[in-house]
Amino acid sequence: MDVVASEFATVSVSVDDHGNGTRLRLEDLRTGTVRFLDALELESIVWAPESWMRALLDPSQHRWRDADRGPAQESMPEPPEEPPA
Amino acid sequence: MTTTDVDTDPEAARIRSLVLPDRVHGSIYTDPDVYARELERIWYTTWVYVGHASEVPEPNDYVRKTIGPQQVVMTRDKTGAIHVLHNRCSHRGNLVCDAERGNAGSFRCPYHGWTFANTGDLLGFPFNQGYGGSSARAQLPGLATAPRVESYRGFVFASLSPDGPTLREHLGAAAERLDRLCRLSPSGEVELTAGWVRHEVTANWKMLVENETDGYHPQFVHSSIFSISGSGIGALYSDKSTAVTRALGGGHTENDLSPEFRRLGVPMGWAGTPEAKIPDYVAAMRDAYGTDTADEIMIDGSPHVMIFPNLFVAEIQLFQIQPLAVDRTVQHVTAIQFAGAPDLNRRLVTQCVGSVGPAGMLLADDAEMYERNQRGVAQRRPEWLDLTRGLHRERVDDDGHTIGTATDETSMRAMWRHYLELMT
Ligand code: FES
Ligand SMILES: [Fe+2]
Repeated sequence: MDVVASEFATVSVSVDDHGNGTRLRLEDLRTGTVRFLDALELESIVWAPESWMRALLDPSQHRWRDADRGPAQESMPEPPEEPPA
Repeated sequence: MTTTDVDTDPEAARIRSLVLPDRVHGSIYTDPDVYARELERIWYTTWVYVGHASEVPEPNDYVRKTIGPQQVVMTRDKTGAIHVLHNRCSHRGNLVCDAERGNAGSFRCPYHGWTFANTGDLLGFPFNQGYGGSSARAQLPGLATAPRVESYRGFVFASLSPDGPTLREHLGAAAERLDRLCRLSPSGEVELTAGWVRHEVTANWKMLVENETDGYHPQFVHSSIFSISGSGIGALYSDKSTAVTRALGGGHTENDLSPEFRRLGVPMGWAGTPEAKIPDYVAAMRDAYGTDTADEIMIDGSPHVMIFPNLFVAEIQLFQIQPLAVDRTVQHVTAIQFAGAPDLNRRLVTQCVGSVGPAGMLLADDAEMYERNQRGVAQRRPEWLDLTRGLHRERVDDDGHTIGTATDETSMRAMWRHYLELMT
């Protein structure tokens, strides 16, 4: 397990092989929340446009989303709203 | 730079009465009103040295830096461009970055979670319905950026004024001194990667600027480190020396010891390091420049230059001067490292630990003088500090710069002339 940390976030990173194939296991160490990413998801992140990453960094998109807009992860807009240029 | 009409600005007239060609009044170092004006007219207007490109080598690297009392963050964005951001959240003003350095494409304020790209752009904020949805983002400000950021040979400067002379105009002849520093690397680059020591003194920042190229004090203040280290540098600061003190224009000044180093003619003699101890470096230099040019470079040595108002290159170490209050100043110090010169760099770090490290002798000697001087000028009489040393023997060199002997106060007089231009 490796940890990628900055003053803003701390995430542990490891390759998990409990399934039939390998996947990346990410854990937000400040909350214990875990997300797995398979190879195709990772490849898609590698190829995602910069605007996608910028939109993802908007706190209102997921974790700190107003309750009346529904659950966070499933409701990520597709494609995400265009962030400022 | 426009000159204020002294008839309509009594403060300008008062400052002119405190700074004369041959003396300055003690209150120029102690008066909070003068200091407040210096912040506005010098530190928040002219080009101020912020940091070096080698401190943010990778995309998304950042370091915390300062422009006087202002906290800034120097970032390198994903495309490689360098930005200088005010370290102040555009929501309610929290400090956004706390770590001295890191790698992050975006910064999230710890107070309410507003999130910014490392270019300053606002990326978003939590619970955006409180602002009417994500479209509000376009109307809300991001992090403030320095209006002008330019670099010369990797040295990044910022000006908090949107207009004024270009960096190249500001540096003038001092730029060539940075060239002289950089060419001591086989690849022509310095790297400020050795880490920083922070020395704080209870003294006015101008005491430090003046002292950096004061060639009159080393034989007294630094006699102990010169005798312990067996350094020949102290002897170069004498009236018998062919070294000169030079006003480079723009308030920039230097002690140019290269005539003495040339007279001695020993490669790396200026660093007190025999060739045999750094064979890889000497070979790399001769490879890069050819033997004759390399030997010239290694004989001439590194500059001793004070780039007004806050960048001091003292041969092997670099100081960044940061005023915090009229009587509080920090010097951020690092050992200069030359790209492609690992054997030389190791020695330079060791030498700098001895001179300016936490227990270093050179800077401790100076710090003692700064603090004593600050306490001294607070005494009522005599009211003036003398600036006449060498006034009668000043000359103009082939490049049109005013020069004095190694111990003359030519540099201080030049700094004060520039100071008046900015302040009045
Ligand atoms: S002060 Fe930064 S988010 Fe509120
Ligand atoms: Fe609270």
